[in-house]
Amino acid sequence: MADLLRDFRILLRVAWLTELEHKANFFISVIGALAFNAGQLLFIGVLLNAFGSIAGWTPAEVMVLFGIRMASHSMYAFFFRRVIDVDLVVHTGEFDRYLLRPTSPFLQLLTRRFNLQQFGDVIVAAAILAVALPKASITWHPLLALWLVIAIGAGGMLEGALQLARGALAFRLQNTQSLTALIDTVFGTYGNFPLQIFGTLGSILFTVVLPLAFVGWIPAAIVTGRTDSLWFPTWLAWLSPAVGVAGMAAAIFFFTRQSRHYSSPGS
Amino acid sequence: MIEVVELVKEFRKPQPTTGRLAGVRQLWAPRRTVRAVDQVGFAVERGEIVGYLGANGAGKSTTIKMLTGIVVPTSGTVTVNGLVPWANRKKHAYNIGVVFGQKTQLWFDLPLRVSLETIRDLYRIGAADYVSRIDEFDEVLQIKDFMDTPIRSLSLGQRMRGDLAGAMLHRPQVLYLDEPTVGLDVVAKQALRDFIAEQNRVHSTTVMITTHDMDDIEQLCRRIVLIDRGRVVYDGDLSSLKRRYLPFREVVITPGANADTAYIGAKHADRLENADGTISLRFDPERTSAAAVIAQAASTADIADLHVNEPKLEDVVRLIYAEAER
Amino acid sequence: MIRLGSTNALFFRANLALSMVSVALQTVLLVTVWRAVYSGHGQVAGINEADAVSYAVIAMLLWHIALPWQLSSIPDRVREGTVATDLIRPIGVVGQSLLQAVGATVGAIPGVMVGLAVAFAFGGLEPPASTGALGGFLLTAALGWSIAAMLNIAVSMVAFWTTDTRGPFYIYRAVASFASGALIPLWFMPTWLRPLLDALPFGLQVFAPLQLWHGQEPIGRLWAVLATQLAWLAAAAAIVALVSWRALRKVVINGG
Ligand SMILES: Nc1ncnc2c1ncn2[C@@H]1O[C@H](COP(=O)(O)OP(=O)(O)O)[C@@H](O)[C@H]1O
Ligand SMILES: [Mg+2]
Repeated sequence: MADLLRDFRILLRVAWLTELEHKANFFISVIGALAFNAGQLLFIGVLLNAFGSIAGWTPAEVMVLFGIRMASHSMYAFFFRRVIDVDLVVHTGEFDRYLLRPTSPFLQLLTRRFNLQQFGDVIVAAAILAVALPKASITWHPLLALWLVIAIGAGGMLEGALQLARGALAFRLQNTQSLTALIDTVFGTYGNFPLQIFGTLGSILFTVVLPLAFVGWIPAAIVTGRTDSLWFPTWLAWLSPAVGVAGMAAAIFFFTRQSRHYSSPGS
Repeated sequence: MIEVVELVKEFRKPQPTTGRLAGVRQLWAPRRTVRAVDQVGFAVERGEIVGYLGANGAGKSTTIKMLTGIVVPTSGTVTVNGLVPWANRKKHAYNIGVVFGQKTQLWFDLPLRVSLETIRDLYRIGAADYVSRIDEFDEVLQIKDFMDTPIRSLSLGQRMRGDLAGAMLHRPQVLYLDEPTVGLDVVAKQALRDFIAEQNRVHSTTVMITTHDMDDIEQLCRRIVLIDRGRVVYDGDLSSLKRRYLPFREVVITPGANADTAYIGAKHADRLENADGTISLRFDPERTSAAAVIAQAASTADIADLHVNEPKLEDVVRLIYAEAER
Repeated sequence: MIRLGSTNALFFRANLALSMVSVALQTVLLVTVWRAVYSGHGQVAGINEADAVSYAVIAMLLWHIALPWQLSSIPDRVREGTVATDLIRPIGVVGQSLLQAVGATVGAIPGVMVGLAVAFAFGGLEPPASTGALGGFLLTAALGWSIAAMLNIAVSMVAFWTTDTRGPFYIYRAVASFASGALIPLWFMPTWLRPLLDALPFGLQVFAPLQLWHGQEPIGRLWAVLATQLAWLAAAAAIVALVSWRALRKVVINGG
């Protein structure tokens, strides 16, 4: 573990130096992330503006949900975003290099670039939470705050886990990139809704099959005290961050297994 | 050091479709299996330099990728220094250095120095060792001239020298080189060969090299493994390879002016008249000697000049590759 | 070359199956979300539930065709270095990219069919207001697609100047998706935002055709829409021409 952390630091330094080579790009990327998130914010804003509450949640509660979703997304973006590059890395043969070095190929994948541009996400998420949290009537407790931080981290892991599992398909299938876009769209668009909007069946599907619930809905329900909207008991909701952690572990395992099918292009 | 037993690698590819609506029908195209490496076996001792030869598509790179742990074999076993490359990846990484002529293993956008420092850190090489090795490498490879240039701006020759330094920095026991000299100028090629020979001599580094450059082989390799369509067709030293594939030698005679050449041609030698007026006498060194052939020629006609053609590896390889084409 | 585009899209069967599943899933989600959002509201901004649901589905499908995951093959070809030879071919990079866009659209048709079928099965499709409305929709949607294809090519040419194209593509995607009305019908936009949105070409790609579908008159009616679309198409073509001319110079100077 200490070895891994040390390698992470070493690789992060190269990633950072690489990023500095592309300075102009860096700013554009930050602006890009800002624009993208502003688009989503507008989406929710316009809906709330036109319709008032959504599925029984007040605008403030929906905004808390949106803020939490953004925050966990920025966690994902900061640490795990490069998992969407698996296709590129496999098709160009860059993965050769990861397999030849004495450290985790997965770690090398995550650090192939430094994701500072995702500060755009962090800024938006922080701003939204700063505005929305005081507006929603929340009874704060230090443990609740701690739990929220953990839940946000676990949500990021869950999104990363899905994208990583998708990426691992690239070792065997030629082109599954449209799945990346689908996950992005579904998380980015529908993850922002209180999921009871999809009915009981829908919210069960979004918890069990396509686990959207963990990146926003469940944490928001706990924080705002709207656990009445959940389809399962509250004590389970408190345990929900375990899903993100377990999901990431499973995805890394899957990725490692699939990487045995790597066929390395070029001769 | 390297043990390879019955190594097989198969790739699955969709069968190409042609004709009407090929693009759509491609969707249901059956997949066919290509056997890139077929029952390959050999053993390499510590300190050997082995030339791994074969025509394009023979399966050289695929073999190297399995030996280095990049690709997992379909069947068969590989152990390198007692480790299975793809299963003990991390430990194995310390034992090997790899250079691919086609793609760099270094960080493309960053100066060579950063790449080498990162390798130093990842392999936990001590600061003093690092400095002394860089000094050592610089003597032959002259890498200090371009330490601060990004890899992407290096010439091919510089890049290969940088890659070689990166591959050897942790002083691996085995060095794999896949077509390292392709596209290099004579000076860069020579620097590479000198470096490889020196590492082998001083540190007993085991080397396995694939190349189409026969000078690489002649200068470096004591042993050759030849593969054709995935199978080993020859494994042995260079001179017996030549003997096996080019069993004759040649004396080329330029007759003097007005010489009567009708009687030139000894027993056990085939006579060929070349377009430029010279005469080639081919003979099997096992059955007759060059001296006997020359003496016979000199005694029957006036000779202006003559020379003996030694068999060239190039001819051997051309012969073998031509066979593979058929 | 058209075949090439559709082959690329179709070649990878996994991708084709995935994109059909993806469209089907998104269709179901859209229908559900809009119905749920509407529950308890009769009309919002003068639009009833059935129209909003139908709008959302068709807009998503239009957008699925107009803004594919890969804007064009130019970034790939720049990275692989094959673009230098493409630039001097008679048909040119732009021509090839356009034909590939046509091919990709053809390849996306199965997905669109699936989306329409799913929406129909869920009772989420409203027929066009009249035959004339359908004609207007088809005409403006086709022109809107052309504008989008041109703009996609123009934006993807950023690849000539920078190796990492994600930032610019991100911005383009975000702005275009929002401003086209593909995510939310522009009916629901606050009034202060409307002048800005009307000044952009994106509304002409999704919102205007769909207004016609629903029997609404876009500003200045059909003819004005067509004229604006043609003007934007010309402008987009001019941008592409300008950018590719600069790009050619750049490639020549850099030696490819
Ligand atoms: N990643 C791959 N996928 C499919 N086929 C491959 C792959 N790599 C190599 N091959 C096929 O395996 C055979 C051997 O290739 P290779 O080992 O690269 O040959 P060499 O290095 O001797 O030129 C060729 O027929 C090649 O087409
Ligand atoms: Mg090869």
